[in-house]
Amino acid sequence: MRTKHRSKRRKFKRESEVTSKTRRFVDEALVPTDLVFEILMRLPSKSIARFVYVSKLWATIIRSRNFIRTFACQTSLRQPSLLYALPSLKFKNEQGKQIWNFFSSSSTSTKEPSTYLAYTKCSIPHRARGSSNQYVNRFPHYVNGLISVIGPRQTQVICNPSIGKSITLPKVKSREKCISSFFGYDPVDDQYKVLCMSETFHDYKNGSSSHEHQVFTLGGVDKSWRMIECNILHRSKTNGLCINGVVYYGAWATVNSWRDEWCLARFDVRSEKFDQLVQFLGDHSPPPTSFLNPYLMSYKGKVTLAIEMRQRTFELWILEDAEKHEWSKICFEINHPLINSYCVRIMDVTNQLGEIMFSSPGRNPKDFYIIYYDQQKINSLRLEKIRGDSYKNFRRFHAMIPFFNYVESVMLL
Amino acid sequence: MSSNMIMLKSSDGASFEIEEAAARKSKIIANMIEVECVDEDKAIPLQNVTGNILALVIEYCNKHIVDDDDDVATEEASEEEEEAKKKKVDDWEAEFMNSMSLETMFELLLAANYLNIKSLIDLVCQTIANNIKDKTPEEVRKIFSIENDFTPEEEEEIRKENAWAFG
Repeated sequence: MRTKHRSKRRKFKRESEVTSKTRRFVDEALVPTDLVFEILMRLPSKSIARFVYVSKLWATIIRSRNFIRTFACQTSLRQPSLLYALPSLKFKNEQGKQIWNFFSSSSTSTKEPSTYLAYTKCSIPHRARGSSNQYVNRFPHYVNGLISVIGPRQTQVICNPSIGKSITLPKVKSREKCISSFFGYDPVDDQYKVLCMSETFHDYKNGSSSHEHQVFTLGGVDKSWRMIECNILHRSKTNGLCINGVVYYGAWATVNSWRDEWCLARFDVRSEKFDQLVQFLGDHSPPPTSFLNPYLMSYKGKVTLAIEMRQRTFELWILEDAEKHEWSKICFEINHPLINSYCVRIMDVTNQLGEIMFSSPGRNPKDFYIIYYDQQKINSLRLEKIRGDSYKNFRRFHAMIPFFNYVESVMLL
Repeated sequence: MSSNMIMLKSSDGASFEIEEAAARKSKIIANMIEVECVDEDKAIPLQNVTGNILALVIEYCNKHIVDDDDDVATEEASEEEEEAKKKKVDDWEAEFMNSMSLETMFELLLAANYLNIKSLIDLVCQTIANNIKDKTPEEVRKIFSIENDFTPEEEEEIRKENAWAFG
């Protein structure tokens, strides 16, 4: 019966001009799944996202953990990319939304001007008025191909810039309006998690610690926030950085009953436990102040606190051993007209060359610069100009946020 | 320099003579040679490969065996020479792939897979990927002769979920 049906179908196909040998090969499933896998692996992420729709088999291959991992592995072997995010606001019928435009380019091409490999956009809807939390740390956090963004009206969104997709996280339930949020990735279980903690508003230093620590697992069965225990009295004061399954951030901690100290908090993404704080002890650790706009980044794979001591003079404090509270220090001064403290952000550090990268707006409001500085060589500065006028409607963008060493992901969210 | 010649026979009975070094690009044939099941007077029968496709495979192997020899001979070649050589191979591969239809590519891919020639699998997969990357899912289904096995409801659901990818 089945055979009859099949041959009928084939006959029909023959009549409808699908007669070539190849078609029959494919029809009889002679293109093995592993070859389909190999072909898909070589596609740009945006095409992959579209081809989920081809068939159930293709959707299964693309959504498989093996495919997502192999794809990420393969793209990271290629040249690392620089990703630029350009957020802009759009209002239509009073329904506002924020559009994040992403461009990527290779970060190692020194001779050629930036070429843009991909362009995607994520649309972030506004949450209804009057029901929002206030996020105190509005830094976008990049982890393993995905970016966590706080949109307008305090909507927390995870974007995948490679394929231009985003999901809005449920609202954090909290007694306080004030939330700080961090984004982490656990490479062992291949899971992304968001950590949020509530804080009391207008309480700068000597205030209460954060409370109501909650975790959201991306793609988890339970699509809600879970309360977790935290026995360490602290409140966050910097951006977060995730390295090897641990989220780090600078914090004020109540070390004893009468004094708060500036230190480094650690959150293990897999076990969802807070590790012992890394304290800043003595002269061989970062200065105990949060006034110098500390920024956490990765330097040669190590957690590093960057601070601007005075104009154009920077210190990098590199965490050598968290258990022993050991740090090493690099100092440098940069003299370049584009670097002044009002416009420079050390965003992240180091491509494979060990260069420190800054971003800065240019004199022409449509341009941005990436400044690469190699502190091991004297006068080693190079500039990359990102020309805004290559993009349509660039004038509406008001900021450029670079993400260095960006690795594409085909996670569909 | 003389090298052993090997005979290959396609599924439709065509015979091809090929240098052993070139034939070794195929892991399957290399294994056969290793275990000495290749009779010098007899052609190796390749049941799954037709003559026209086998001719393409042999063209590819011959081209690449010459390049591999060069690599050994000029190990200390300068960076520019290396680059120039790589570009020459890339150009040849581009032209080689350009000369065939998508259908031939699929047959070549299956042959490369059957004969286990890794670099040829890579080349053909990349070319097919470049060919389909801007296509719509409908076009891809046509190329691969895949039937749409989603129900209209499921299709609608995915369309809604993935509206961004179709823009």
